[in-house]
Formats: sequence, structure tokens, C-alpha cells
Amino acid sequence: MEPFGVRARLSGMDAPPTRELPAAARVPVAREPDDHSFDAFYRAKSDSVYRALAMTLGDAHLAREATDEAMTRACARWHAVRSMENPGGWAYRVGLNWATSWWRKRRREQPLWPDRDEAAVTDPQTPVALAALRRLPLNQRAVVVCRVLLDLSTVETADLLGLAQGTVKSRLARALAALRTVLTVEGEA
Amino acid sequence: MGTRDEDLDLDDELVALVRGAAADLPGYPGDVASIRRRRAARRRRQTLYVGLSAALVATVLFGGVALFGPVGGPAPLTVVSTPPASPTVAASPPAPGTAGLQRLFFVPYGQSSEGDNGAQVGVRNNDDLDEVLPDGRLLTSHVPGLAAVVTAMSLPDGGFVALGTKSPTETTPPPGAAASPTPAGADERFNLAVVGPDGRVRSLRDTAALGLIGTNDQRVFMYDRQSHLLTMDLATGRQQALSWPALSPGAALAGGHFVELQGDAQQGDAQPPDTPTHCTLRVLDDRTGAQTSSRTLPVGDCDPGFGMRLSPDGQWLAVAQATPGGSVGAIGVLLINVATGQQYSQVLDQVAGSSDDGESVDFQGMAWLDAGRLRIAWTHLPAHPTRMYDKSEVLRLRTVATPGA
Repeated sequence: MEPFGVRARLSGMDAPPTRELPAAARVPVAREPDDHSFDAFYRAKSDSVYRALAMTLGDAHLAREATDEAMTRACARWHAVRSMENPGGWAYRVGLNWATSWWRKRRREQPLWPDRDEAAVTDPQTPVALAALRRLPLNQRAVVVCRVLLDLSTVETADLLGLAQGTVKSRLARALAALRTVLTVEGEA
Repeated sequence: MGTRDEDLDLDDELVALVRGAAADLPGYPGDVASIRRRRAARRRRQTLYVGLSAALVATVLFGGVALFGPVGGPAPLTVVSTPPASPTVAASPPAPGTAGLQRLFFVPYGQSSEGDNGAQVGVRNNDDLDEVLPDGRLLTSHVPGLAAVVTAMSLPDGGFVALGTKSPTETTPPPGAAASPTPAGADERFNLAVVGPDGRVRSLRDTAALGLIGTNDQRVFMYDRQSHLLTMDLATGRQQALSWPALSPGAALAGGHFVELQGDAQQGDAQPPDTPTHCTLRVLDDRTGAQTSSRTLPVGDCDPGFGMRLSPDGQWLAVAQATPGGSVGAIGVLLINVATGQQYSQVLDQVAGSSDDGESVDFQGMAWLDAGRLRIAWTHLPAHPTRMYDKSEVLRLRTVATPGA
């Protein structure tokens, strides 16, 4: 008999769907020109999507899985994804949804950003920034990443994350205030 | 990209710090070839699902025209094999069903892909009905009149109903009076078998139903290819369309009511496809179809996952879930208290890594042993599989309990 663990959920971060499409609705196999187009998208965006997910999730390994999943879905639906205004943002959102879904809870409960990831960085400021970011709630981190790393506007961030513009602004304001506080304290220390 | 908002206080130092940290991280270690392999493996699995559907249709098409009504009176189930799900090997026909006990039937899905050695690897499916007995043994039975079982559900008296393709030997056309109230082509019709707790087939009827929603002591609730609701009266065998607007094919039935999770998907370029925007748990009376209560749940709960089962007393809804795509990842179960909305979740199994080494888990079925214990069955294909496995070889079982049970 296995006891259940109490479920935790992050507000504002919706789990991705696993809905199985009817056979008739499944996406046809991509044609060859699309394959080349996807390769170009992958080369241009996979690293930035991965870094954005790594900064948001605080776990490089989970970010790798999430990026793989997002890119696999983008590949499968490339004929639709390619026509989007911001395919990279779409991939980020898909990866974020995938990673924050409930079955990943067990990993999220592990310490964020293990030492093995920080050991690879070269800039002494990086651990400081990562430590400050990890103190933020995930939904605030996502807004910061969208605005700062992905260089999205408030409107675009709201669209991408499915939030109201006011929510984006308030989360960003709270996140920035918290970051400044943490960085100031750590700087003084 | 849009222009930065004037009212945002993104000071340069903070932006530089965050961007610098992101740039300083090790880069993305993936490669496009692995993405394409992953996509191809997933597509092969989808093809298998499509192939199964095509096979079901083909069986009906080439198996002759449907036979309507009971066929030759009650017939016993045929025990095909008793492969072990545990060290114990079943050596006898199935024990008679027990009233009130949900029976754990498998979904008719296997999986197949190209292995490292170039051979087909995966989990083999069979056309007969797989069931995990209460003692953990796996039983495979042939249901007379069904060439390939599509789905099965317990009856409150310990028997079950099974939906499947018609046997090729059925050549008698259906009588003039329509057995099923909704129009459907001959290639879309299945047989519905009602089997008693003693294992004898009580009736076998032609139906337009494509899937089962649930059963109570009076009726079988079903849906057809257009998601129209159908019922069959267990006493008379009469089928009719059901106009209960509040009930959807995704509901679960037990304890006198239906429970369903209903979420709207918002389509848009900025959103991942099919992302639900809300999730509501709704409770409906199983005699009238009227909604008796509803509750808002976290959006992710409306992931349909692999399926739902309601506890016999109707108090707990179990939702079997998996990672998106299903071919790799994890199997878990979410329990929702229907009365309070309280939730508990548990990861039951997951693959060791995220690479495309062939390791995968796949849901097979679940059933409540009683009001407080749920049994879930799934298959776990090992890494680097070299052949096709029978489900019994890679089957895993777990029983979980509701809080306080």
C-alpha cells in the first residue's frame, strides 16, 4: 500500500494537456521543406529556449527535458508552429507547462540548481543572480525571464503566459523588488 | 518582439545580471537529430493507434454484416491463457465476479517502434480481454461474439459489459428495427456483450456505440462516434439515444452519480494547442442526468490523461495521468475527493532518463478494489528493448489507498 503525498500546485502555472487527438485530427507528416525550416528554427532558438527554461525552473536537467519535449512538439506541429508570431515563445511556454505539471513535483521538491550546474559557470556574479532568482516564486521567475531574457513586452508576456497585463506588471514589480532586496543584502554581506 | 513598456522599472544593472547569468550557464546539450528520433518514435506509436482503429474497422468491413440480438443463447467465456502478472500462475477459469467489485480490465493498446537492433520492439496487444484478478493474476479471456475487444466495464452485480468488433462469422444482417437509435454505417458498428458474474454471456447486441461511459444496475451508458449518448436497458436490451445535455462521454459513473471533469480548451497562436483555461468537476444524478453540484479545480486537473474511475461509493475520482506524448515519461494517479475537492497525487513509475533509449511506461487499466483502495496496472518497457513483449512480462501493479482508508 502506497501512501499519497499531498499535492502542491503553483498558481498561474497550468499543467499541459495530454489529450489524445482523434486519429483523423492528427497532424500529417511534415513535408521536406518544413523539415529544413524546422532545423533552422531549432538552430536559432533551442539554446535560448533552454536557457530561459533553465533560469525559470532552476534545474538544468529538467530544462533539458523540457526543451527536448517542446522541440519535439514543435517538430511534430511545425506546419502550424512556423506560422506563429513567436515560435520560440511558444516553445518556451510548452516546455514550461510540461515541466511544471504535477508529475514533476517530486523533482521540484529537490534543491534547486544543484552544485553540479553552478560548478560550470565562470562569472562570479552568476551564482548570486541564480540564488536571487531561486528565491522568487516560479510564476514571478517566468515573468522576469519573459521580460528580460526573451525580451517580450508586457502584452506579449501576458499573451504567452495566459495572464492579464496587470498580473504581469504586478508580478514583475514584486519580482524586481525582491531581487533588489536580495542582491542588496548579499552585496552588503 | 514588442517595444518595452515605458512604465516598467527594468534597471540596466538587474537586466545585465540576469542576462549574464543566463549566458554563463552551460549551453543546451541537445541536437536536432535526437529530436527527430524522438518525434519519429512518437509518430510510430501514433501510427499504431491509428492502425488499431483501422484494424477494428477492417474487421467489421470484411467480417460480414452485423448480426443483431442474442446469438445462440448464453455462452461461457473462453479462457485463452493465464500469463502471470505475478509469480503466481492462474490455472483456473476466472472466479465469478463479486457484486460491487470493480474489475480491472486492460485497454487494448500495445506499442511498437524500431529498436536499436532494427527489429520491432514494444508491447504486444491481443484481441481478447485482459483482466487482472483480485489476487494479482492476469487472465486473458475470449468473449464470444467479439473479434477484438475495444473496452469493458464492470456491472454492479459482478459481471461486465464488453464492446468490440464483430466476429467474422456473423453474417446475418440486422433486422429491420434498428437496434441502435443513432445512424451509423455498417463499418462503424460494434457488438455489445453483457456477461454475468458466472462468466456466461447473457446477451450480445449490435450497437452504434464506440465507447462506454459506465453502468449501473439498470442501464449501460455509452457514446457513439459523434459523441451522442446512448443507453441500453439491461433488462430488455433496448437501446436508445439519451438527451442529457449536462452529461459528456468523458464522465465516470458509480455510487448513483456521474462525475466528470470539464475544461475548455483555448486555441490561439500564443497558447500551446489544447491548453485548458478552466476546469470544473461536475456531479450528475445517474437517474435523471441533472447536475447536483459542481466545483472549480486547478486547470491541470482537466488533463484527461488515460482514464478515470469513480470509487464504488462515488466519493473519490481517480485519474490516471502520464507525461505528454505518453511514450516516455511517467505514470501517476490523481485522486480527487468529489465532496471536498481535496486532492492527492502520486507518481507510480517513471523512466530513468529522458533519452530515446526505448524505455517507456504505458497505462493499462485501473479499478477500485473497494471504496478506499485503487489498483492501477501499467507496463514498463525496459531500456534498449530487443523484442516485442507480452503485457504479462512487463506488467506492474500498484494498490494505493485513499487517506484514512
